[in-house]
Amino acid sequence: MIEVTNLVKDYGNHHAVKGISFTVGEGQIVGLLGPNGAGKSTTMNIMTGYISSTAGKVKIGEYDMFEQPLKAKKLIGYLPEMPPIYEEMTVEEYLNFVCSLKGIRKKKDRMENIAEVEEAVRITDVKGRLIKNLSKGYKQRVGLAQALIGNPPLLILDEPTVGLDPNQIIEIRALIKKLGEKHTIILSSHILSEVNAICDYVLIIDKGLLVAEDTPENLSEHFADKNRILLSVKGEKELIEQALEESEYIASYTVTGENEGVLDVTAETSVKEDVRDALFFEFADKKLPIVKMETETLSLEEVFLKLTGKEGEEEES
Amino acid sequence: MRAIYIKEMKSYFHSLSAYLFLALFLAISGVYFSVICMSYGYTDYAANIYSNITIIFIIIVPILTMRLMAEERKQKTDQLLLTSPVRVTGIILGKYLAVLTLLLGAVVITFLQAAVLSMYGDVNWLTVLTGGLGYFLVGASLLAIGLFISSITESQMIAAGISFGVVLLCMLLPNLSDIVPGRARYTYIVCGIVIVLLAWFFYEETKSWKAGVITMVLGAAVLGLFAWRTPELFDNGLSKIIDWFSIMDRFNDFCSGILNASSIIYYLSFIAVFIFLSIQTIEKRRWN
Repeated sequence: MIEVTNLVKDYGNHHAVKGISFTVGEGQIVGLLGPNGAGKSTTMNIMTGYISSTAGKVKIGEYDMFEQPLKAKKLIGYLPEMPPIYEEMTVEEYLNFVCSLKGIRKKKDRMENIAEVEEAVRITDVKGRLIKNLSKGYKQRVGLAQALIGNPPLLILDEPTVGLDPNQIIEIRALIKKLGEKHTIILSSHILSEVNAICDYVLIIDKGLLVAEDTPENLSEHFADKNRILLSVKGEKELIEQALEESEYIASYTVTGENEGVLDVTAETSVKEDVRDALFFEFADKKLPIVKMETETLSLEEVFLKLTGKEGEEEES
Repeated sequence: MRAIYIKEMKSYFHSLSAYLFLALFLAISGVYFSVICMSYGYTDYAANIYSNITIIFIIIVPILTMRLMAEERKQKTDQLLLTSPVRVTGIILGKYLAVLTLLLGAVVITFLQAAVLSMYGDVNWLTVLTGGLGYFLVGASLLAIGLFISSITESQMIAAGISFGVVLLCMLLPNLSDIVPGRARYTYIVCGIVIVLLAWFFYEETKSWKAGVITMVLGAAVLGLFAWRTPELFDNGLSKIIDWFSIMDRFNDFCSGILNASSIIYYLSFIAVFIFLSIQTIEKRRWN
């Protein structure tokens, strides 16, 4: 459905995107993940033909965005970061205008299309109101409605849930999931749980580069090469540390806290299997009671931090 | 293009600007009409009214054009337009045609006034029609400049300010051409300055000093060639250049009933150039 090859965008001396390539298959929901300023919006703006790239190609369906822009644009519904709404129009007028922009001429088709879209994003009850009087959440939905007009096979959504309240976020996510049954969707976000919940596939972008791409599960697994165990052990500090060093299952550990004779330790295990039973008996033999123990695999959040370099900075400081 | 046109027309009438424009036009042209035609009894509508009410453009061109492109950019709605399956040319033309429709409304008002006048005296309809056409062409040229100015900035206020200044300058140009010094050397100086500015512009745009130097050398060569072959071109050169840019100068012919093909073509190409520049400004921003 989408083929992005070696995309580069320079603003003078500032390199916003430095060579991103990826492909998105039909029917996928892909999450574009990255910290603020990573180049997500720039990438999306190039993919939708709003701005041009300095180098590289974007192919939507069979059409090249730069050679056959009109045909390529017909396949896309785009919700930019700020919904592109005309405040002085009513919702109905606005959607009508979008219909005519997208070349839906017949009145009957328009009415049907608009009613369908309004139903889908639940704005039917505000359709007669001026957009400027709507709340942020409703404006966002009107923006989403605009992207859905004309039933384009590809939806590109730039941070679709920003500014919504928790209920609306859940609603919109459910809607996106449902849309994903019939559309190919690319959405950007810096909220990881969102991407985890909705997307089949994740692209992580940092400083204009694609740093990782995979399914959310694979990413967590791949980067969590060592299982982590959080331990709280009762006893004298020296004895516990000695036991940890002697243990064959623990590769390294850091002491994270100490109170009332209980030591909190984060340990990285040397093997992939669950070693909690073995550790329990080992410490029991040494009369060091483990009062709490849990395993932790890397969450997408940590993968993200790891990849975008935030963790490294923290450790250094 | 049709979608944009309809949207713009709606937005003119949803907001105050269309009413403000028509009210202003009615008020100012009405004052001239009632004083000159009604009180003093002049029946030559074209010569007395059209040439006077061009002054209205100073106010209405900024009002009508300031928001055309600037507002879209500010509100980020240009993202919708530019990612829709519509050409930039269609967007610009749709907007321009909408503003022309309003101008046409103004010209119709002047015809109504002439019709009223014809009840009380002999009106030369030929001059009214040519004058109306001339008025429309002058207005269309100034609106094209306004559209271009609106497309280079994202602030309506700045767009309005610059349009105001430019239209005012257009009104004053004919007077200016009488004052500027006529000696050839002043023409050379001004041409030199223009070449330097052009060179600097190309340098800024491409960030390569080669482009600047090449422009400078080429410009100097062309200037030198003309100075060598046709030095008489530079006598009174400044006022010639000013006359060439002066939209108002050609308008007087229309008011006396002369339909000059070259003048019509002049206005049409003037409009075409600024429409083209507006389209290029939008395109260029995307390529930056």
